[in-house]
Amino acid sequence: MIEAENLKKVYPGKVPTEALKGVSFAIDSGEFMAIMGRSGSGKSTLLHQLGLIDTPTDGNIVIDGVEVLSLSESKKTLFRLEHLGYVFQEYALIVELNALQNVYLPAFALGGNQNGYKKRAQEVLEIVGLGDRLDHYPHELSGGEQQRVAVARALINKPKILFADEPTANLDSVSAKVVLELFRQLNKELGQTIVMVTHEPEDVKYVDRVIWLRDGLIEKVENQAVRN
Amino acid sequence: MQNLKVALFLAFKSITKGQKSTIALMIFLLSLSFVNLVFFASILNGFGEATQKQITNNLTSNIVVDPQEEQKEAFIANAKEVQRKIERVPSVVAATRRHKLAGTISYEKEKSAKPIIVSAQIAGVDPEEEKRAIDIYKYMVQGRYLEGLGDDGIILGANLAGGYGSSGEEFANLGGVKAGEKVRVTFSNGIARTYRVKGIFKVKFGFTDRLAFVSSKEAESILSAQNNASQILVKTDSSRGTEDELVKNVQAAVPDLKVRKWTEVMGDFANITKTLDTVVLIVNTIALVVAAITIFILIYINAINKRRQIGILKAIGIGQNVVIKSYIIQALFYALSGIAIGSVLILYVVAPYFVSHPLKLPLGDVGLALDIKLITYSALGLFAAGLVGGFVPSWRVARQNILKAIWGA
Repeated sequence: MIEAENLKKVYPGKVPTEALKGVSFAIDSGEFMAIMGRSGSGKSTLLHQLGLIDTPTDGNIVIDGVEVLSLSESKKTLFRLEHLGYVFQEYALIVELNALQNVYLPAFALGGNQNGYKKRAQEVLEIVGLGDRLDHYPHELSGGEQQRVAVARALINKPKILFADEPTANLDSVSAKVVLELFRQLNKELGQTIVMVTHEPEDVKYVDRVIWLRDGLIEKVENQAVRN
Repeated sequence: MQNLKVALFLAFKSITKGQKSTIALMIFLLSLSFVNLVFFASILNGFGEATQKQITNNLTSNIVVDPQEEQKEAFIANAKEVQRKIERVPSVVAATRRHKLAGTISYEKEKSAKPIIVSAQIAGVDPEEEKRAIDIYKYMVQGRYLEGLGDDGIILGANLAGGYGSSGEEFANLGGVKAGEKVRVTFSNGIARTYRVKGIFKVKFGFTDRLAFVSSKEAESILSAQNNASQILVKTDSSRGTEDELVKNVQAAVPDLKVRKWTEVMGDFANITKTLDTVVLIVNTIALVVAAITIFILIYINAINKRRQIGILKAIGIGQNVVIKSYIIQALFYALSGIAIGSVLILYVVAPYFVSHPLKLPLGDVGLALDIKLITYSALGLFAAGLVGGFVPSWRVARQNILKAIWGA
């Protein structure tokens, strides 16, 4: 599903920062993988490159057979819209849109039947347990609810891969558990491929595999033998 | 098409869910910009229009026919026949013959006092002909206009008579002569005659209000002339062609005479309207730039405040062009609202106010010269300003790197 080859990322500046120093790995379809490591290890940077919201300084990424780094900016945008879902650490919702509108916006941008994508948005919100919050605006929702709306939005176009950048970092433990359970459910029941950055050791119990990063390089890869 | 729909959706939500006070302020500012654009142009146009009306209605009419200079003739011979020829030109409404006389007018305000003597331009006119081409008869402030060729009176302009509250009275005047009183006129050929002042006129235009008129029969007796004229003033129907075309038509009828439009006769003074056009162009350009900058700043602040949101939109796959379009649509909405409210203010508040309270200027009452062309051009100008003012800032913000936009770096 994803093949990353020798990914490097250098942030320019007076003293250039090497965030990724040559990272290679592959992710299979239907896999739930975590990227872990200390602060500054390069885990979020890696996710940004894989999610096409940043461009690596060197290396190659192939997603579902497409060399995505060779795409133009507009084609990358379309690729993100059609094939990738992204959940941010903060509840990145559009404040002027209610929950339903936030969720169906990517489907609306993709085109298609209006009733179709509104119905699908409603269904996805029901899947994330917010079927009764369709008309609520972000400021009327709790942090956990907002994050679940963001997950629903990421799923609306049935993405090949769902990327999540520390999705539980700003949530209380109860809300965090709800989101992670939701991820596991999506992965198990729908076969959704998920790549998640996390720094919480207890999150590993939800995933199939963990890539540990240290100083911009892969330190180790752990397969989780037993999943709850 | 789908991109435009999404952009419209985002713009609509931003407007309807955005801060109402900010939106109201933006629309208010743009409506004032529109009022400013239309008001300044229309008041200057009103000034130019008032000048033109004063000259063409009360002083020279539209076209002036003089003897050719190279023929060294002081008069147009066979003036009646010439006048009839001119009147047969299709675009001509009326023509009036004038005898130009120069002289001094003296007035004894008090029997024992020294008479006041003032130089003046005096014209001999056929009152009935004159009324068809020149509107002075409508502006009598005292007494009456000349009646027929047999009238032996004189009518005086208010600035010449003095004491009628005209702005041109700082120049020499007769100190307040009234209708019914007598003045003595000494013409440049030495002939002196006493006239009863038949009336005083005041058109509120300095050039005209310093003139005096006697009948053409009286003028011919002073000049010992018959059936001639110093010049013929021609009133034309402006809907029948441009001024140049109308001059050409008249010239074709009287090829041996000098035919000029009023702007040529008035020389630099007539250029005032052209000068005002230039001023209007400059001021309106500045006003449009200011309006564009206003929109730019307000949209830029709006876009900067929503930079994170723009980053999120791009991250979830909404194209940069969609984001830019949504901000342009918002800017155009503000511009159109400003145009609509500004139009209402101009048409239903400012214009009616100037109808009831015109500017009192030396050349007469000046109001707003509004026309659909001016309003349309101003609206198009502000619309274009909205387009530029909306595009530039949204393009600057939307092209930013997604992560920088989200992190606010």
